Amino acid sequence: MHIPKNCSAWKACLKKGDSEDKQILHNIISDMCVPLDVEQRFFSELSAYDNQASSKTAINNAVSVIRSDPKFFTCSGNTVALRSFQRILRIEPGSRVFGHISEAKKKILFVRFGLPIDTAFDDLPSELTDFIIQEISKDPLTFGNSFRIVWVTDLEEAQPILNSILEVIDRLGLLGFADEQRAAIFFYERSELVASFHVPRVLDGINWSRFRPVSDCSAASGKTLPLTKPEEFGLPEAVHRACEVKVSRIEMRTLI
Amino acid sequence: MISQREALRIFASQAATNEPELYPYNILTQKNSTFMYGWFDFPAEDILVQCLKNPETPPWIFDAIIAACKKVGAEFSYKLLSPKKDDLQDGQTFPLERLLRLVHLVKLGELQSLLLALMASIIPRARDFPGLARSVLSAFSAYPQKQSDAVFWEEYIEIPDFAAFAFRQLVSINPNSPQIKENLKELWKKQLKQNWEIDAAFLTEELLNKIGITRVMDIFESIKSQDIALFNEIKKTIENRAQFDPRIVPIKEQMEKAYPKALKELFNTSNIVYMLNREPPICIEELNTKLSGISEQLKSVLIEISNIEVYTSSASWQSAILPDGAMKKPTSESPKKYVSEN
Repeated sequence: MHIPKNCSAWKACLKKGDSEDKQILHNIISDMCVPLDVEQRFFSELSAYDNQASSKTAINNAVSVIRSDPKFFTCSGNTVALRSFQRILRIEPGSRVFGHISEAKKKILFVRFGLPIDTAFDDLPSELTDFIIQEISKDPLTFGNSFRIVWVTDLEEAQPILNSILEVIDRLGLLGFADEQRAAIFFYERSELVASFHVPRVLDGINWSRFRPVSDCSAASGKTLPLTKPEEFGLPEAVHRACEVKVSRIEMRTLI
Repeated sequence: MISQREALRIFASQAATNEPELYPYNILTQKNSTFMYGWFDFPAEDILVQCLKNPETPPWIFDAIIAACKKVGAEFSYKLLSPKKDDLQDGQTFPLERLLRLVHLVKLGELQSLLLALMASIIPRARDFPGLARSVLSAFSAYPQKQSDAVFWEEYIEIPDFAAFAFRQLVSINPNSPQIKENLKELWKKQLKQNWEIDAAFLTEELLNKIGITRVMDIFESIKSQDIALFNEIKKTIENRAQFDPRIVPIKEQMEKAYPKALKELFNTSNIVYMLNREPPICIEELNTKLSGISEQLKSVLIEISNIEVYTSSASWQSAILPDGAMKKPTSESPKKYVSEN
């Protein structure tokens, strides 16, 4: 986004802040996926604040703007009602699948089956990757303590999403797929989850420094397909803090 | 994985130009070295991997990464050569593990001599650092293998933790080598007789993909002629595995075709002794339980040679016996005798 002159005080405050504040500023500047009308209204309302005393106040002001109209600024991270969904899908770059293999499992793959450790997943023939995936899904997976995009939907709803996986990656501005040949989709049951969800949003980088928007996506980041139930907030996808889950299956989808 | 373009951008923005190898060195040696990219966290050495793979990487970045790799490699080679294990406690080998992963993934000729040097340091300490040994052999296997490398892998066939991996390398070098036949035979023996933790059925299937079922069956035939007990165990193992592993089904089917059950069962002494010692009559349900898995053809042969009357159900069997245990004389209403479909 281009920060207009009337918000230069706000920009200067963030510049003076700590590394996290600077990262948030970087996120905002490098986010090229925000629709123009959203961008204009955001900065127009932000310029009305005159208490840009510190970087923290500057961030709070920006958060206040997006919370003032959650529908326009896309839901502002409301919590998703878990009861709405039966099945959880999660998408990750194909090369990350190897990262889910525990040391103990790596040893088994090497000693019992003679498979290499830390190899490039895409270098292996598909029958072997299928076999490894089958082995991985036997144990619970810990997805790590960071935010992820997941889909919280019934499988019928998910099918159109999964059929156009590249479009979904672009729509959500997901990074890490550029040089990937395949995406991994993990399926698990709602009962496996202990963590809560929040919906992704336009301008998510404003109060979360670790968020890094894609810079060259063609779609508007955070725009999502509508679902019908009101408790679903019109969004089939959500973000959650990951936990240990037992996946029911893992599918690999070609991205090319 | 992070894109090559983004990796280059991160490297260029982070590395100080006066000492550019410091940044890749830190990535390899600092604890908890991961980075967040989009929604995912990646191992930090992925930045180095992608820079090395990117043909547009400027020479100063490429050279800085290679120099950092060599520095880390040299430091650890020195530590591994030290007879004191204390120099490398558990958990302190992570920079070497990262380096080996990098060397494995980039497959660069510039790093091959470093890899060979690391192998020379790690392999003699394989007992102390089995994880490192697995990593270095995996990295080595990613580089083109020559016919002469077969001699190297042959040595590992004899070591339980490396045997399966070495076998797959030998298959990739020359699946038609006469030695492969001996190796597979040996691996089956080690698994079934010495309880090695290898999966010989999986390895057989891997070999089958390269040389075809006919040649795999030749190997089994050779095992059968030399060691029938081992052969029978292999057959049983394959039958069991095929129940839950579809990869093994073609081998099982081929074995059943080549070695039909009837032949083996006909001369199975325990079956014959059971039938000859059995007090007549017998009902087919009990017969089926006792001789489970037996073919219809063999069943009829056994019934014939043992001269036992077999009835179609326990009810008809019971009604064929008088209260004093004697058999009823045959009448037009006699219980129905079992007649094999064959």
